Amino acid sequence: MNTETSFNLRTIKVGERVKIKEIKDLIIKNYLAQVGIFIHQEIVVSKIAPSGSMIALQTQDLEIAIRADIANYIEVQPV
Amino acid sequence: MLVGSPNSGKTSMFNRLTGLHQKTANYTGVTIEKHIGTFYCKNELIELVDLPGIYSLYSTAVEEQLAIREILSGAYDGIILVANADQLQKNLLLILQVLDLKKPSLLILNMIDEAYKKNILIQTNVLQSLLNVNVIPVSARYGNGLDKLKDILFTLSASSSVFYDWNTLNKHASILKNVKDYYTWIDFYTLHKEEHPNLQAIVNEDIEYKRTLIHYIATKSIKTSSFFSKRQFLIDKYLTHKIWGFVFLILTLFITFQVLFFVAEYPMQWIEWVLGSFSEWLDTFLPNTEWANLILNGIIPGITGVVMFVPQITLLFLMIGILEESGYMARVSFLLDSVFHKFGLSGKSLIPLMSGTACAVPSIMSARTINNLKEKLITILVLPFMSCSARLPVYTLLIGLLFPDNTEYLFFNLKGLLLLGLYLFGLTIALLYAWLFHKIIQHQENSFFFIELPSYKIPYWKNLVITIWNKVRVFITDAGKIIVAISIVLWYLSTHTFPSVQKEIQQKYLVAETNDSLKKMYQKEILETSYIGIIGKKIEPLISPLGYDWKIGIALITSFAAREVFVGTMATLYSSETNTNVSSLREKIRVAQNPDNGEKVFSVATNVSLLIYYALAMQCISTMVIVYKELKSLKWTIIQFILMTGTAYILAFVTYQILH
Repeated sequence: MNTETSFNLRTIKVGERVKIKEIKDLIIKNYLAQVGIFIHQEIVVSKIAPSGSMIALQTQDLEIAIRADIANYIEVQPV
Repeated sequence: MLVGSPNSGKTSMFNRLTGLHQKTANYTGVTIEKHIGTFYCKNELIELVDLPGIYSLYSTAVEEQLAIREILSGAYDGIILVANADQLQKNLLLILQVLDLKKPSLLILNMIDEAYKKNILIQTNVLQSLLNVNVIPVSARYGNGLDKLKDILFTLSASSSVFYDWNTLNKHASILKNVKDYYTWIDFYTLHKEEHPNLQAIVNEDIEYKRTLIHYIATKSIKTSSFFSKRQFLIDKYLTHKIWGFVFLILTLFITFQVLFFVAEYPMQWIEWVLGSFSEWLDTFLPNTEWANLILNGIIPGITGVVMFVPQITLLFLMIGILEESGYMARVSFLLDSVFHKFGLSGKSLIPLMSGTACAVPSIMSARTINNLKEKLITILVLPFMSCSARLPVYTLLIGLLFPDNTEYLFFNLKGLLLLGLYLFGLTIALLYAWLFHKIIQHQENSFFFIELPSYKIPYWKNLVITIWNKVRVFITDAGKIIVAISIVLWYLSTHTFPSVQKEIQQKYLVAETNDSLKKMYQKEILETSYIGIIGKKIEPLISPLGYDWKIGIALITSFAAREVFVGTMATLYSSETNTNVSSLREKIRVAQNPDNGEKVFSVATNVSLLIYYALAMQCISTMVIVYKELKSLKWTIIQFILMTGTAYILAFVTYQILH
């Protein structure tokens, strides 16, 4: 798999491990950093809410669920 | 001062250090709480402030802003930073920011026992040397490490390391007037972030700089084997499943309300019996004076109206506490966000809505955590539809009248089922109106909603007990004072009237002292001609289509101060009128008859109509004040009042007319 290729976080399936490549909105980027989600961080998509409106992400020490519309701003690449 | 992010175990630490020696205060001009407690350290009395949890010094939520202002005020001797040891990396941004303020500090790694269980090893000596501040591993649950904390509490010092890049701030000197260090930068940002959108770029540079440091510090000081545990993954697989998740949620709510009614019934009956017997015993030797009448028919019924419901309120807070502390509540938010989102609410609305089952006042304040203005407005507008604990005494009384015995249906306690039904009814109406508001209110804004999903934990019981005690104490002292005071006022209004009328009645029944039948007629006439009787009769035409008589009308008026006053009012009114062998409040109300037609006042139709009215009406002046304060809008406060009370009136009317 080409690790330079990037995907939108919403396209990632549960259980896949990816690295955050880019967060397209500065305010969202700052906001996510405050709750422990940074650029270049490895994450695992741990679960998706029944209706798909929320996506839960696991980092090394944290599990956090974000709205799918926020996930639209996050580009990831395979690890 | 205790500073830490949400879920860092800050409050457990506060409870462990201060025990029951704590009080709750509000920030000046607002209604957000902070907790202040005391404890002894080396024979010195230490005052400890537990601030609301914050994620970073850049947070914009109102509650976090207040905590940041307090940190910047410098009105304290030192900062105790609390971080969750198994989530240290997440906490490092806040830790570095606070250390950059150069205030005397130390860092506590709380829940160190949990970290060991997850094979997370933190090299505290490395962390200490990298941060240049004392680092103490602690378990607030078991009290480990607290002695060491107390040993160094008087020798706090500011970290000599710098974790920000001065060039970042210097580059923007034209905007950042008077900014000369990190403290002044945060102060400037807090005050001027709305005026200068460009500050977000500086925030980003600062975070990027700190991100590199955080990565370095975490790599050097944290040794961990893997991502999250398989056990948690497996539990979540079912608890957040599209079918099993909802099944488990409904089951949890069902058990909660069954326990709430079944378990609480025993202490409630006992309290009612004790106070009833005490009242009878006093009656045997107290002289027939105004004071004795006040004690027996004003004060004791008022106290009963408070104490009787303590067991149920305690159980409610216990159940909510268990759900929160175990980590399940966050999963419920995750599960329901999609549902709530369709109604214009946020997953974050769940906590205010669930807390609304305790009291609408703090719950409305807790809606501040919702960033999206439209979602926040809708949450506040529909939240009072949730059945609060003040409604619980009213429900208990009325359900007790409908089902005098512990009637069961298919092994289920019918009282519990009906109570659950009322809670679900309130929730349904709340969601219905939320959907309507969602369609009506036009407001486009991105919602930065997130939920932290903490690890599952067995609740820390000591922490739960202290939290419940504080909440119950507030109910007894705050609501209790109002209820007893109103009971006394009501007693006066229900036993006194214009002097000329009172004198006339007294002369008419001069021989009543010795004749039981005449005595009853005398008391009835006094009540009907009393001040309160006059008011009740004035509004009777308005409420009679709902099945209510003038006495219920009086209770509707007085319970506007607080819903639970309804019970005290009924107690006072019926203890004035009915002086039979029946001693319990519920019995007195159950046997009450309409003097005109001899029918029971509390028929099934009236009872159900009243239950619906109380489930929906805006019968709480405190809630209205808080709504006005939070929304800063008289328009929305009035709309909410009309909406709630109008809906209650219409549905109670329809119910009575159908059942009658």
